[in-house]
Amino acid sequence: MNSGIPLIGRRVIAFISHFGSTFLLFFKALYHFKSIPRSLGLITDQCFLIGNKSFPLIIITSIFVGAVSAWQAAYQFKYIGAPMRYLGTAVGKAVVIELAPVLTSLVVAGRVGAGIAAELGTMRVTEQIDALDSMGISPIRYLIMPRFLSSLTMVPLLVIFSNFVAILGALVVSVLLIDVSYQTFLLGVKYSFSISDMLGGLLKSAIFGAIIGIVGCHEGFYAEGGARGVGKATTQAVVIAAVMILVADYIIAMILFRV
Amino acid sequence: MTDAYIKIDNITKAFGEKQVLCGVTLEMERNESAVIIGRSGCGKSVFLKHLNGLIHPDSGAVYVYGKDIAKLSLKELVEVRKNIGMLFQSAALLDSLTVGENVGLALHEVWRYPASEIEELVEEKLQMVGLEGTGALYPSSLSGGMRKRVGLARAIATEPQILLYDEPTTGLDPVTADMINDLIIEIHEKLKVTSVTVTHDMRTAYKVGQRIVMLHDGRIVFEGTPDQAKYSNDSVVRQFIEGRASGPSQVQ
Repeated sequence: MNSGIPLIGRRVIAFISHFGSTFLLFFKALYHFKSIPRSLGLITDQCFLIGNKSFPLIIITSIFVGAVSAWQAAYQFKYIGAPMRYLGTAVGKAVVIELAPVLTSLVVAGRVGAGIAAELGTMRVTEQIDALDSMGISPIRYLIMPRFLSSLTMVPLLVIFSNFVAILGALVVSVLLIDVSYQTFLLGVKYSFSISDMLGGLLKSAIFGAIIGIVGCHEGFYAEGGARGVGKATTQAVVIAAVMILVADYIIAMILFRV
Repeated sequence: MTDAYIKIDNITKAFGEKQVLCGVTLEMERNESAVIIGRSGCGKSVFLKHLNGLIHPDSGAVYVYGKDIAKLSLKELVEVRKNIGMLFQSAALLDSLTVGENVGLALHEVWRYPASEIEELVEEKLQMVGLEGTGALYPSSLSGGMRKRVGLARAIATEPQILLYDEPTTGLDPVTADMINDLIIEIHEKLKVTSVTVTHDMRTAYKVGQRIVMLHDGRIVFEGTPDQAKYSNDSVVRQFIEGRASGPSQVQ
């Protein structure tokens, strides 16, 4: 029991220290925003890798997210005897506020966050980051800031795209399998659409994008211990980002969407 | 302050429980070529990384051109690093860049030379290391020796006044290793640089070093010319240069 207390203490200190170190890197990345004009090439490269290359994955996941939410909503409507003309309303609201931002971000955390951590981790253990430092090139400006900024900006764009694809997936299922006409479905979507919901969803996505970017960068940048260390950094990048996204989602919901 | 070009003043460094350097003091003059030898894990690379501020000492100081580099601001440190080139043990080429982009990286990112001038300088440096025309290749398509030579071209791209070599011949066949040794000597003479080479390859040490310094258990145990090293009576030095497992320095 006695030996457990110092162990818990050490774990708590390690947790706080890890969290603090991530925040410190976040502020360093923000500081280097002043170098955006001279780093445009690096930023556009990362936007392409993070954004464009995620589109196929987002299309597939969003279609099924939309499809299953239409099916589940219809199942609940049938259970409580609600009219199916509200199907588009329910699905539209759920997709824009919650499903597209959260699920897209979780998918991006798996693809992009892990990729950033693995790449930077490999660069760390093969001394490539030391090489940049030794040449007088700030690794924060050259590596961290472009990845962080690209993640911050591309995730909201992917979420906008995911909104449309998910609603399209829901529309197809509603028309073909639930027997709701597309006019009725789209009218329901239109009825529920609110610009503040959309902006709330996008604000959330930007915060989630920032989390994915900075967590991936932090885990990779401070990786140590060879291939095993890179593997650990990659796993941690996904796990930490996923947990932080879900916690942040709850906090943002409390603030933005008051009951 | 100091008059020496590089002065390492009684530095210590520990990583956790492990004490790596325990009071190392060394002075180097301009255009000198020193070689640091010692067994694997004795702190040679850690020592080298103190010279360009990649690692700061726990105590003591490192002066480069009379400036204590641990006390410099980031901006001042960048200015010092502009004049220090480093060849890493694994060459540390950026995988995502071509050979040409690697060599011209500091010229582009730090010195901000125009593209045409960078292209010219890159080709000139690649030619110096015998790799002309390889600028468009990626590091993954190069052999170990070629990677080291590209690393060398990158280290000299900005024509620095100090060159640091971390195990320049490790992992190379004897012929390629000798080619790298010749390049180090040629660059030293042509560019009039001050060189510090870390190695455990005695052929490299004898060939490129004007002075040999041996690190053992975090301390300097020998300092002298290659000839003095060859005929040293110190048992630790003898064991190392003769490559014997038995002796005062035990294999752990």
